[in-house]
Amino acid sequence: MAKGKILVVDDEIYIVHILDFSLGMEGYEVLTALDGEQAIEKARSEHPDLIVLDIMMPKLDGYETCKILKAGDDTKSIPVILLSAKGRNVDQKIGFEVGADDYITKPFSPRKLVERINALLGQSSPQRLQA
Amino acid sequence: MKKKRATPRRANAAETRLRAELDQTRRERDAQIAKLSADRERIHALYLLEVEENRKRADKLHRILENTGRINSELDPGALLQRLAETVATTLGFRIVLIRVREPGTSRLRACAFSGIEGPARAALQRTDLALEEFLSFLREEFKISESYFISHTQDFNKRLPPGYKPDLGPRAAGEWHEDDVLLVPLFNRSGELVAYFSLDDPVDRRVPTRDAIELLEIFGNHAVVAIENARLYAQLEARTHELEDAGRRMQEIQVLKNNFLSSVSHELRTPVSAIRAYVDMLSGVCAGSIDPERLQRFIAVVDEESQRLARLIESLLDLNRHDAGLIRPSYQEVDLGALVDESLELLTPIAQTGQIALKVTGRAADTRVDADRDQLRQLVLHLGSNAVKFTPAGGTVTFHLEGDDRDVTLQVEDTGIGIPEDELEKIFERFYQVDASLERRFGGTGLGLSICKSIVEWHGGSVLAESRPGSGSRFTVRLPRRHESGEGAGVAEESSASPTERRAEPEAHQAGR
Repeated sequence: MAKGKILVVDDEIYIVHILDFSLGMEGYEVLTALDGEQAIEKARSEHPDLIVLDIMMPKLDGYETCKILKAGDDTKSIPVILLSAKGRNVDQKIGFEVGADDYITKPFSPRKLVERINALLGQSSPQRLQA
Repeated sequence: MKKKRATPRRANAAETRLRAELDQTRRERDAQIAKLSADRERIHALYLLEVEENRKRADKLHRILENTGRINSELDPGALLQRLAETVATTLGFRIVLIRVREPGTSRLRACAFSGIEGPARAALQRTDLALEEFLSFLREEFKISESYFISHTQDFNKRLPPGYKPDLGPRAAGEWHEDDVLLVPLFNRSGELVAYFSLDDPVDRRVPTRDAIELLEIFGNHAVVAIENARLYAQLEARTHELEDAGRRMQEIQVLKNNFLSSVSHELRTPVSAIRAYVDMLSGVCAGSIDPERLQRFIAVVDEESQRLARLIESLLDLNRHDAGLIRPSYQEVDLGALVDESLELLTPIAQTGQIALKVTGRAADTRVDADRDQLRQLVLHLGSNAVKFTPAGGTVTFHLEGDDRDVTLQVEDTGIGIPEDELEKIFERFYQVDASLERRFGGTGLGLSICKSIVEWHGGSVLAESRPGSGSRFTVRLPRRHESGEGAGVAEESSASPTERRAEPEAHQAGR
């Protein structure tokens, strides 16, 4: 039985692969998307427990995607971790303004990301069960 | 008795004589009085006349000074000259006024302002400049009145007249203006250079101007010179200010470009680093032991690939920087562009086959020998080729078309790919510009290829053009001059500029300075 469903969104295929692997090792079910539009589609159809979202992506960037997710009734309660090479304070600030629950700067350690995800889901799981 | 009678008679005669003399004297006195009073009246009348003349002159002067006040505050050179022409016309009484102005630093006199000249005559004047020497040749000593030159129609000098033309003098009163008369008022500045001149015709009073009138004109002229020079200085100042503002804006734009470039660079550099770090983190982690050997190999391969990509990116960046700084000096030799296309095809064929893309060459028979740097040209052809292959979907075709004439050798690389939106065409040669960045990255590109291509082409004194119809493909046309003239333009490059010839000349200038 999977610990939860996680949607990984990044246009860098290698990043998607390594997250798929490390989260899979941890016992999560992993869904993947290569851009914002795909991400929104999958979030609506698959109802993941958490979304890891890259910012600089084609078509729809991470900020916009996050905004749309947080505005949708069926997706607004899904925690979003922004994962980005944009490391300035202002980028993080925008990230939280669009509703992100956490912000992790690239380069990142997949193991630390897994810890953060465990922590976030540990906190939000009871709420999500109610919802 | 006789004596007695004689005495009164004598007395009578004396009396009569005295009376006559008296009358005479009286008459003479009256005549003198009359003459004196007539003289006095005449003098008085003359006096009044002079007073009136002076008053008129003062009036005119006053009006001139009034106008000069307004003129001096006019700072736009064009408007100023027009106002000068109108003031001469209305205040000084000439129906036809032309002002020609010497373009600063030249010896051409340009017709700049007119009064009473319209239509084709005006257009003709505007079209033709007058050479300074020609104008100065008009200023003969025999025409000179005060500081101006009255060229009478009686002079056969007048060039406007056809040969053999005899002006019709007619029954004219002395001093009456003739339609072929002209008055020239040259305006010199304080260093004695001709700034402009008034050419005046058709005076309202139909009289040849008096010296007084001419002097008035000259007073006005002196003010006009100052006003013209002021306006010019002001215009220069404005231009300089604009230049400075433009330079400031350009600096800001460059700053923005630089910032964008830097943020793109750092993003592009971070991306493979992120992948490498993430994989290394997994490889060195506690879970490493549980990774199966096959997956382990894959992870190591990713690290290897990404570090290579990083190295390529850094290489490209350094390349570009060396291009920009003029540190890469092309070594020119005769290169056959067609042969380079063949070489590139060999390298591209495996990728094209994987993607089910056909490669074609047309115009292979053309003479495509060109003076160029072999390595750089190969890089150019290979990049344009792989770029075309990358963005062409399966079943598409990439065509290399060669052409050569006396001056240029041309290579066109055309694909049937996704194309480039029109508004993005100009930007594709910018660094890190990609219509779809991830697509490029997914194909292992650096986002710098096209800007390196552009540098290479420009460095060879050629040009590169991108055309596209989104959805039906793109075409890149590279035109290279057949011969590379190494000496040409080396001395011209004083300022760095984006213009190809100057850019090409820059390295030579650098070398000359060493």
